[in-house]
Amino acid sequence: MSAPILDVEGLRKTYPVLRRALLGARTEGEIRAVDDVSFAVDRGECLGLVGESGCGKTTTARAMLHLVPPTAGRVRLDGVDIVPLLAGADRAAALRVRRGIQYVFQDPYLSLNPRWSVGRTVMEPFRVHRHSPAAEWEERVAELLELVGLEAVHAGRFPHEFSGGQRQRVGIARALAVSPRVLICDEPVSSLDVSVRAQILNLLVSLQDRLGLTYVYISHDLASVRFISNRVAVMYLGRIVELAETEALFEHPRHHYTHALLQAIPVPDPGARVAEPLGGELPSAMERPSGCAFRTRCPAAQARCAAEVPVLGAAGDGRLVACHYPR
Amino acid sequence: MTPLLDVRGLAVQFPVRGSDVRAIDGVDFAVGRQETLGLVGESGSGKTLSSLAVLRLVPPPARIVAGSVGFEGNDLLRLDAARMGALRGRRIAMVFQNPAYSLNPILSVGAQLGEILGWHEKLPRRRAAERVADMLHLVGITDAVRRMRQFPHELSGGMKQRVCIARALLCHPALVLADEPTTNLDATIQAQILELLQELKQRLGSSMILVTHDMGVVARMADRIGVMYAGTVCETADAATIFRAPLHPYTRALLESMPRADRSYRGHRVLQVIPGRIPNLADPPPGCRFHPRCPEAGADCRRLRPLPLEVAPGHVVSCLRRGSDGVAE
Repeated sequence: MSAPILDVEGLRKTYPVLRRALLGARTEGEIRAVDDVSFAVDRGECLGLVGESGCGKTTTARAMLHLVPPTAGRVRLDGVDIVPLLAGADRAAALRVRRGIQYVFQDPYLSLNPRWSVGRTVMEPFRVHRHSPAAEWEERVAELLELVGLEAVHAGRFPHEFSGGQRQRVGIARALAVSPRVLICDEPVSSLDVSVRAQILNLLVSLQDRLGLTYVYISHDLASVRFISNRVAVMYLGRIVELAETEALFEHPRHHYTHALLQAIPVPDPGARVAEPLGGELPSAMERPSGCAFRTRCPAAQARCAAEVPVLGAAGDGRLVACHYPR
Repeated sequence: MTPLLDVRGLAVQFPVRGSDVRAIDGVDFAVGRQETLGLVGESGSGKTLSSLAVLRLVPPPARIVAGSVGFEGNDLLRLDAARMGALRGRRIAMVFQNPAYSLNPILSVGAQLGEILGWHEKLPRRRAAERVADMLHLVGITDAVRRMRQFPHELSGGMKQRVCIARALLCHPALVLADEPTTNLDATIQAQILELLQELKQRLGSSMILVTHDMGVVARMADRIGVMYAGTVCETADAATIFRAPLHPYTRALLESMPRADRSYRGHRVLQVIPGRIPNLADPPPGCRFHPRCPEAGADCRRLRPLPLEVAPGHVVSCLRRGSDGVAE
């Protein structure tokens, strides 16, 4: 077996909680937005990262690319730890890393500059990375636009002239400009209409096949995750609670939270059995329950769950579960 | 039996650069007693505007230009302002998509809910507070008295939506309009709110129009479903028929193109897609509005606008390929 292309180990992002005092402010505690997250992604694979709002999935993705500086942890791309490279003063080294791993943002309305033509937006990475000779840029932009299902003539148009789906194609073209090996897609279809979603999901899959890309696909929409991912990691309050092959996870969830999350999705079938919904709400990240963070809502919680933090451990067939009493 | 709400030929227009854009163009739907009608569609289909038009709350400069809204023996489009005001929130109430925006941030929960009872039922403050506490309890808020003293920003998203539901149900309305009531909520909270709405509707015997883009939510909640596309209703039927035996090509394509969490994609690398995009209503395609994206469209679909046809009791479809008559535009 070859080494994973992406290897995240002990990633952590904490935010201090400050209380303003008469003179300055003092730290009162910390919010652990991402708490000791580890996973590896194989070449050509798509790993889905799912969870509800505040679970830390987007912060994990951003910390991997140093869009928010991680508090601790290693992120290895092809075996090289990129955290110090992205944080360091060596701009050339940081750019070299960024050519290998790129980000597709959730909102194609907010992530494109409204005053730049689409051509300029897609060309910007060439300028920043001093990619190919400038004379070739325009031709490359045309190629990229066609690669994502747009036309070369679209380069002269502005974001407001495009629909949401087309804008997301522009965002993907921009991410692909520097020929990355890994693409981090943060809710790339969540703001799109149902009939357009399938088009963008198909585009992502065909690009993956044609360019041999590796994806980390972040979403709260489990339907698209089931379609596109090979493996899925489920997060709750900053930690991965279960990680498994997609079909195994959807068919036989072992963690009680994964099970509840899957049960909660309304399926498009009027005859479907409706499960008793999970009670309670997501605890605040500031008042994280002791032991297992999910125990306050878990139907199987026992005394041990309050005392001991469950470790994410192997549960057979490559599956990892963090639960004292898995299903 | 006459339905509780009967909307016929509804049309809403926006002035855009000197010309008029029809955002809703001849929409019919009806809601029976104790029935939930799901209105589904993508953005711009007119589902939200249709529900707002029932209460004559379409945001200016949009205005209702045609149609009738039959409700309890009146045409709501012809009611005077005072009687309309007495009806809003009392006989027909609304639950909005974003509970954070639809609550008044500077009034406590108790004050803004009590105000409604003072207005509609002239209840003295103490009596109103009791009724509010009872209703909060009914929507699953356990410490109602403490919550009534709190302000919206002190509540979680799910809790705010519970307050909005309590507000809508305060005067025991005959009809509740719920516009994407769970779209902004997390999956596990959405499941709680959907269960609550279902349970309350049964207990209080009210009818509901549920506006949503989520086919899973309508499958779970609706008795009957109207599928909207580009300002028109293309198909209406009971929920089972819409999902198991849909007739309109758009309904079929929508169901097939949607990724599903309850389906295995092992070995499947391609989803079916609806080609093209949602039409711009300032320049809608002539004839059937779905024809540019329709796999079955013929030459007549480009020219003729399909009229609704009842193909089976309660199953209405507007499609020339399914036998609808067409009118030239």
